[in-house]
Amino acid sequence: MLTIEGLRKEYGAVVALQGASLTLVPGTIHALLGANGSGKSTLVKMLGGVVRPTKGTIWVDEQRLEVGSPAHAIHKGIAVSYQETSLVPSMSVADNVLLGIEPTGKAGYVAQRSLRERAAEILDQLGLNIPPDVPVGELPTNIQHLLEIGKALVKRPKYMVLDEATAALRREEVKRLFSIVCSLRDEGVAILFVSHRFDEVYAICDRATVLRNGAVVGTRSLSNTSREELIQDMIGRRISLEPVQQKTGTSFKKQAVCLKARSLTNAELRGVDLEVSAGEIVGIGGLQGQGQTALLRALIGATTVRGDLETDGHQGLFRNPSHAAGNGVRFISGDRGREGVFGQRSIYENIVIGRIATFPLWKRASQRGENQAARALVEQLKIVHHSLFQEVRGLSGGNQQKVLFARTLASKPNVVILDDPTKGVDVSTRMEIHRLLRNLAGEGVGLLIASSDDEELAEVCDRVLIMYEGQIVRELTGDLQPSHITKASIEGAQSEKGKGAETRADSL
Amino acid sequence: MTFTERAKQWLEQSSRNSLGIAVGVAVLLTAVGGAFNRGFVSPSNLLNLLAISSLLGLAAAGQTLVVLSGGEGIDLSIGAVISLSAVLTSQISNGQNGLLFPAVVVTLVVGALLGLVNGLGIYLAQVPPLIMTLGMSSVIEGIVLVYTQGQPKGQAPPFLATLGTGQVLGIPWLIIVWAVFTLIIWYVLKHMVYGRLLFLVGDNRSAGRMSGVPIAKLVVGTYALSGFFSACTGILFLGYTNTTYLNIGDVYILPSVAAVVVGGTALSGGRGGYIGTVVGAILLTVLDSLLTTMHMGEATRGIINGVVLLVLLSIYTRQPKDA
Amino acid sequence: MRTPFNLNQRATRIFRSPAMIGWVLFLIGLVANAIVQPTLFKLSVINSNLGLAAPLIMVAIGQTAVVLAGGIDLSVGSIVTLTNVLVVSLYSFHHTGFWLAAIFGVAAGMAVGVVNGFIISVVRIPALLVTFAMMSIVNGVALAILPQPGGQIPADIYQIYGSTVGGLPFPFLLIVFGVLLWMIFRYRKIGRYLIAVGGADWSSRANGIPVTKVRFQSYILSATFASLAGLFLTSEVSSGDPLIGASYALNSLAAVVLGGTALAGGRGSVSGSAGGALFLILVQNIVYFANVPSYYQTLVSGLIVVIGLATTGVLYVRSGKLHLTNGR
Repeated sequence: MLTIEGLRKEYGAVVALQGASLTLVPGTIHALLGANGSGKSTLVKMLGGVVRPTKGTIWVDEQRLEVGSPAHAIHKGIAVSYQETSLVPSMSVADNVLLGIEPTGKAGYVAQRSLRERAAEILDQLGLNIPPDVPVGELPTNIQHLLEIGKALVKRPKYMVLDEATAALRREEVKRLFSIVCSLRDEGVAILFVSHRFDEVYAICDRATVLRNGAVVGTRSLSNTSREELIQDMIGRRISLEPVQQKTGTSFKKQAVCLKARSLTNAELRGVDLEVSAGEIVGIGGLQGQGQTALLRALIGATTVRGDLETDGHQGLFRNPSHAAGNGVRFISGDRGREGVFGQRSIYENIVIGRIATFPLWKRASQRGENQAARALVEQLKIVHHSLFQEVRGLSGGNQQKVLFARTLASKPNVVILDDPTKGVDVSTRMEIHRLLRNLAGEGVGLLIASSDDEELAEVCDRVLIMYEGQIVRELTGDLQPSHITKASIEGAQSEKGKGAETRADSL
Repeated sequence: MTFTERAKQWLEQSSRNSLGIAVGVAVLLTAVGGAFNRGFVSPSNLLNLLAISSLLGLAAAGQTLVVLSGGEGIDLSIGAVISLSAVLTSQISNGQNGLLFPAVVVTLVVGALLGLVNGLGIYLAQVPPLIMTLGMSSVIEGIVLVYTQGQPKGQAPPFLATLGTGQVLGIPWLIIVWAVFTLIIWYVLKHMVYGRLLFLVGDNRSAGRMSGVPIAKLVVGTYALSGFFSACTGILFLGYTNTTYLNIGDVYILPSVAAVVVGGTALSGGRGGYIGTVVGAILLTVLDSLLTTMHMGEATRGIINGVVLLVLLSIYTRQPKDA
Repeated sequence: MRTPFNLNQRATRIFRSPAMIGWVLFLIGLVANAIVQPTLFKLSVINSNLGLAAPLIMVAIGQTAVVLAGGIDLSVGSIVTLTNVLVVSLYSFHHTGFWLAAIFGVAAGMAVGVVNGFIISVVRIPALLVTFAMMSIVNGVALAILPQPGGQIPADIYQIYGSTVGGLPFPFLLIVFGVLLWMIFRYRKIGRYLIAVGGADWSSRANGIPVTKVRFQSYILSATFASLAGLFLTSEVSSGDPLIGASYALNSLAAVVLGGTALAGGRGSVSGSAGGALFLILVQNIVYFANVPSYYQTLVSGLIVVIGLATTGVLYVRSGKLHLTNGR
């Protein structure tokens, strides 16, 4: 039995978790739910010993867990699969799987053979057919996430924590994971399952604890709780599950084309054609990792690509993102922390860069009234802040995302390209961002949005292109429904064009 | 900006006020010097200290920009460029005012070009800045040897000598030159597109790239600027010493980094500024002069310099623990 | 996603391994050197070259340990100097026996490593700055111990260093000793943990690796190797000099980078660094024996090194980047 008692974590003035309590019972799967920023990750990291709680205790089998010590947590039988993975990219698969628990011989040397054998067992169990000596950094995302799970499995834990473990996995991998998890449960392991996906939660979990704003709202038995009830617990107020805005189908009238790409081809793309008109929102959907991100990057010149491109007043591919930005094509990356915000700089600077990024370097940047302009944007987007000059890293994820929007608005773009614009953002910010996207289109800007969230695509797009293995295999227009997009994504693999692509790849 | 916002901004900055600490330590050291020897705090000595600081301050100007640009930016070729510049100016001008102008132009162009090579190696070939600039400094030392055949000739033209050692209204010219440079650099960092973007790109290079900043131009340009400022320093240094010898600039390599860091610019890039470096340069010069006044040998000076640096660093570059 | 892993890939992996860069450079250097200096493979010449190389290789091994763990040690040169002046002045002016002096010298060097490690890992100040300041302090101490070059060591020690044992050059045996010493660490947990900590310190922490301890140990390792290098160098030159180690900090870093170790940490190998170090020694030879006019020698060797660095860099960029999605 693992019991969490009044766990609290403060980061300076910010309270990430305010006294959470829950109990993990052996032989059960326990879901942990909550909107972004509700404190799930903090809780998980405390269980793993990576984050030291400000207050509170964790009891493992009637004994107090030494907090803030990953080694002790592992020793006590707690194994965590982290959302952001805890792999070392330059180390091999086998070395990663047994990192920290290497078997050693008498003289203190690491026993290579038994290390490889144990790693191979786990790879087998996960159905992974990869050589154990490849550096994990060279492997695709889904395999990295499977290895992260493998790291937890190899420890033969009594308590296993899976933090968004399924987010990057494919359907069949999720299935396999679930069968492993269920057999562990039957062996008496307690599992804490953190996820956004309700169908998964309902599929395998027995009970669910909901967190909101760092506090436990309650723990419910899932057999007599509806989705609506859980959502209401998470959000705290009643909202309808219907999409915010139902469009009237073919409301969009064709305007001038503002982005036109022809046969974009590189390692990940196999001849992509697309057009975006002014005022139109085009979505890119499909199963994860079918070249969506590669397409966006190719369009702005962030990766090398062959093909042809045409935008308002520019003919030809862009050399680099700066070249694209100079021609009014702006990009908002899905990797906010790494490629989006300047964490140590102020909100103000983060916004103004939108205007000045493509100016000649020797020009004067300061301008009369630029403060007012930035403040107007901050207010228009309702960015929660206490000063225009505070560091952006102090803001929540949703507010950081809004800062990126403010930056893009300040740049007065013709085309905006977005990758997962509402990733890691809470429900109400998500709605605000969707409204913003519509407004932006209303002003005549062409938008291209890649998203792994089919509801989002249905809600906000005029047209959705489905990608499969580096090609666009379907185009959906008219009255878009999330289920249609999901279905098309899955069917993409079976479609005529998809098959054609495969044969073509083989003949190459 | 409203008053409260200004106040908030000030508070935010002073929460990590390394600049304040540096100013305090500099004043303290000067006071200690005065306690040992009244002459230490005489106006003429203070002005002299400032004049000496100005050379270090200029040498550290390019260093500041490079460090701010992030990506583990550092320029260890500063010393070699200073040496080469002093040699070039003295040999081309051959001590004549008339030839000073072409000498200066050639020197500045060469300095900027060498910086450009640094920048290209660092940006295109991804050689770590520390190693690239170090390798370049041995190349530049080689150029100096070839150019001088081991025997630097010539001397500073009278005009340059005046600039290096002369005074106007009791104030050394060097200080005035430094003040002008400081103003220009402040303006560039605060108001020019280049300066604004430098801080952002230094903080997060990938984000800068994705926001459309021409990273290549900016980063490579920064190293070229560093070469340019080193060339300026070399020219003025020639005016200050009047003659030149091999490796004359080596004494500035490490102090230029120290001045930047002591002035509160983060070595990780994106935070700090030139005013801090100015204070850092003054602090280091005062410290060195104080130790000389107290008749410390070279060995003791090295030890104390190191300890002071360590103490200052532990005050304001301590990294937070992750948990 | 296709999974085209096969045996071929294994071969490419070896060729693409970072250490290859160092050894390819070394081979190129060796061929070039053999062309300009036909006597290169005479035992006495090999002996003197390895005598020069041994201290640099030792320093480079220690530097590699630190760099793998994501740090940097600029104080290695000053540690070499410290060991040198301590050994020589203890033996010559305080008349301790040579071996006692040697033990003191190495212990003093290691003590510097302990201080470095403590300040960097426990007090948590950036390594570049700490070891930079420490360099200034230790050089000062060395200068206080031995203000002028001078002193000596027993003649037999000097002679052994230049001799052969069982047909093998003695410095070669010392290099083998250094590599074996490294392997003792490399194939224990600490060896893996250096790479893990340098490659992803958050991940290392999450896996229960004692990150602080590993960092701490990396500086002790580097200081140990540097002070052994100081001892070797003392045997090679047979006298004390308070400036003797000045070039080692930067040359060891150059060797590490030329050997394909990423300065960012987490990726690389000691064997590459050894290749890099040998290359640096060979470059000096080549320039000397190619009859490059003496004023041009610095320039030419500098250019070769810079071109080597740029090539290494370009190869590294091309060799594909490791990436972790969602990683830190």
